[in-house]
Amino acid sequence: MSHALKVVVMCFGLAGLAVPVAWADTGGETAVKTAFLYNFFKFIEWPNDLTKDNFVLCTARNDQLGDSLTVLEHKTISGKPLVIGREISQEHLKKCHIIYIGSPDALNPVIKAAFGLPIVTISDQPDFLVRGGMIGLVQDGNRLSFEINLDLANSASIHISAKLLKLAKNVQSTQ
Amino acid sequence: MKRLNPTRQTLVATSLGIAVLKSAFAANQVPETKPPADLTQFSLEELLQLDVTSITKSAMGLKDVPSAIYVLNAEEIQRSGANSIPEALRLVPGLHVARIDGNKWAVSARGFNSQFATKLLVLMDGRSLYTPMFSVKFWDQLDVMMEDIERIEVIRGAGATLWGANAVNGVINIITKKTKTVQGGLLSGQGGTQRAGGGLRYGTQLGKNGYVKLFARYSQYDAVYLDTTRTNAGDDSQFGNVGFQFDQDAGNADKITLQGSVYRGQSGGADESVPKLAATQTPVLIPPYSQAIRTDLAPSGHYLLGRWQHQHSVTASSVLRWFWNHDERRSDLLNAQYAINTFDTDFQNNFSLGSRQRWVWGAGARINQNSTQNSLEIGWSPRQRQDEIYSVFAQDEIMLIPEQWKLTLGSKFEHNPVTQFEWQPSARLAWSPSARHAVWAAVSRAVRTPSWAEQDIFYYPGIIAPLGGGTASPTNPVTLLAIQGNKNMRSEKLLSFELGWRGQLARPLSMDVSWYFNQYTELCSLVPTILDLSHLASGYAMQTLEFRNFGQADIYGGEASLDWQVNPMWRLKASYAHAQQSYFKNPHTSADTEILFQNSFPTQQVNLSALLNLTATTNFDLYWRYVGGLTVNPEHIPAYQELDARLAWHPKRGLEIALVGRNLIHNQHPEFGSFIFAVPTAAQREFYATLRWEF
Repeated sequence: MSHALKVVVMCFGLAGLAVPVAWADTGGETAVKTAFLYNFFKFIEWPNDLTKDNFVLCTARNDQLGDSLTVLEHKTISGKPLVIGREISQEHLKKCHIIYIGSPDALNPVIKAAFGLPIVTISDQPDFLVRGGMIGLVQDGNRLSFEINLDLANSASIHISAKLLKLAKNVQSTQ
Repeated sequence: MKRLNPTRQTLVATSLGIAVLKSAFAANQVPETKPPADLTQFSLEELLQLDVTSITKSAMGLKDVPSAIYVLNAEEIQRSGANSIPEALRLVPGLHVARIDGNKWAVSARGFNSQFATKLLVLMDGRSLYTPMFSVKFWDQLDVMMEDIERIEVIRGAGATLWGANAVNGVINIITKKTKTVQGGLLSGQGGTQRAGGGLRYGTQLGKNGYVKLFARYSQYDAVYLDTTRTNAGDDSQFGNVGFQFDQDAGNADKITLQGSVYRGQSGGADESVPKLAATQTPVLIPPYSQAIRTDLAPSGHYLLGRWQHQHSVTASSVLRWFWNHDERRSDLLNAQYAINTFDTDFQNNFSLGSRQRWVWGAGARINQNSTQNSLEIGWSPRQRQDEIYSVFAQDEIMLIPEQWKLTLGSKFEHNPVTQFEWQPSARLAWSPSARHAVWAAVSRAVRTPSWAEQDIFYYPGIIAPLGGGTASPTNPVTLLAIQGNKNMRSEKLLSFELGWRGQLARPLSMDVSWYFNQYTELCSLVPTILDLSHLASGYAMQTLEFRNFGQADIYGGEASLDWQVNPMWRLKASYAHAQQSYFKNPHTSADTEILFQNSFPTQQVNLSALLNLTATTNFDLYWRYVGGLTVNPEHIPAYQELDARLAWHPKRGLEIALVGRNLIHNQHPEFGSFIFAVPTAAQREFYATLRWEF
């Protein structure tokens, strides 16, 4: 078998069916993720009146959320408007209250830039908490669940409500 | 963990159910893009309990559609590397796409393929692209900016209840992007061993709630080499078009759209041998009796479309649409051409009746006009003609048992000046035993009304030289073959039985299977009439081939497709299509009767695609296909397999550079045979690069 043919065969998977089955990217998931992002605002408090005018939800580049974020347009949280910054560049990060990271290439730069700032980083990427993220969205069978790095939130002066901590599948805390 | 509150669960189902209904009511309008599901009203506790898979399928709106539908989305089109719509359609399970020459294509589903494939309806943004002259879609008249396509919906099987006459074997619905979603600029280009071209689109806001997009595109395809010699086949082509779309939100409940475009092209063709004529209906009487001429054609035209949509309430809306279509096709070498104007107005309304019934109904009027320029070799009688077609339709979707059993009943009633009244009913039943599975069955009737060519054309497809090839004489005449239209043509009729199953076997693995049994009667055929010897004294005879409804066919088969997201990096798609075809002639007709396009569809086809995201910025895709053998008038085209590949790189957001290889397995291979003014040339191996830059 020629080398080129081998590559072709490999790509069609005839030689490697044993790859673990993982999460497919579909419309339903992004709708659920979007609803989680919206709900999180209700259970998080930011320091220094940061949210006195509005709430700001941002996403990092290549967020993989498709058009599902459009349902959040014109929504309010506790009577204040929700502002959406879609796929923002690094320099606008400081205006965000929550930043969602939906692709691996944006992960490290955003975590690095948000470190120490009162910005909640959220992602569906694997091992997000280990890699320095604050709230990770995790697959739980056919359901979506979340885990929280409480130490990191505390160090950024972000207060996460007891209810959110209770609902989390996993809370990382040294206290 | 507590169970999800049942009332909330119903709420999810109901709100998603509406999305599904909307898609089912696509009718002959642009189906609205399904809004993404809004789940923000749920609490965190409820969200944690939601089964993501149940939302996924419903939100897509396809699972419960009781017909064999496949949606080719913008990403699939982009990753296919296609620069034309037929190239993209190769990915659709069950469709047979054959390249005839550098610019002509044959596309059909479930049988009867040809450049003149009469049983497939093609629409773009709700506008019929079907030409009444031949009952076909000439793909070389549709040079669309591929980056501007939102999606292509392909329905295999009869869709006549909603779309009307001619949606017999399938419907292809091309939907372009909404102006609101294409703000800014987009530059695209392609260039390689056999093609070049590019496009530019710019979208911007106009006024408070108005959006506009403008686009221009040019593309060219080089001629291929003829099989044995290295001579140029002459099938090179160039196409250009410019167009615009304007959308205005007028208040909360009204939307207005205006769009249009102008196109010009040169579709080159290889040489065809045609009889030499001395005068009307009179062959020359000395050799050579035939001559080779280039089958070059020049298509051109334009369209203008206006659309007004009004939302009466959450569950009721109306659409009023109007368009004017103008298409011309000219052969300089024959000095013949035709021009067609279509004026179409239609109205459609849908509403809910109680909680279990959804009605959609509508009415339309269409005026088709043509004018032709006849030559010795081809012409139409009469040279000018106007047909008026009126239609009404109604369809009721009934939830027999909510979430489980759904019955859809409807019919279209059409009046045309040739065959008068046509009715095209269908009944469809869908059953969803669980959120992951849906089974559907349908019985429908569809008709294909006679084209103008079948009624009015005259054309000389060949000539039989006298024995020995010398000068014609009354005792050894030359015989001219003539195709003659028949004013008494009737509609071709289809009675179709279908069965389908869609299932999500596992989270990342879904399957779609459909079966059909199609019974055709009164199919169009070419029948030799009695040899006309009235000119024997002059040294020639005439053999006329007349269009008659003398064919019948039984075609059964099915399509199965599998979509497997193996992991986030790797997606596999596979499909198989089978079409078992039997054709019968009217027992009273001549043995030489030829049913049009019989056996010109492969019995078997297999497609495999592998889509790989190699890194965050590169992807690599492979497309392999097997197409079974087929017969075109009466040439046999052997089965073939081919492989296309595409490597794409996104160096930064909005920028993509890709390399595409087509037909990698063979230097060249034939895909289709010859039929009137479409001389096939082989498909060659080809490499090209594409650029896409959004700014």
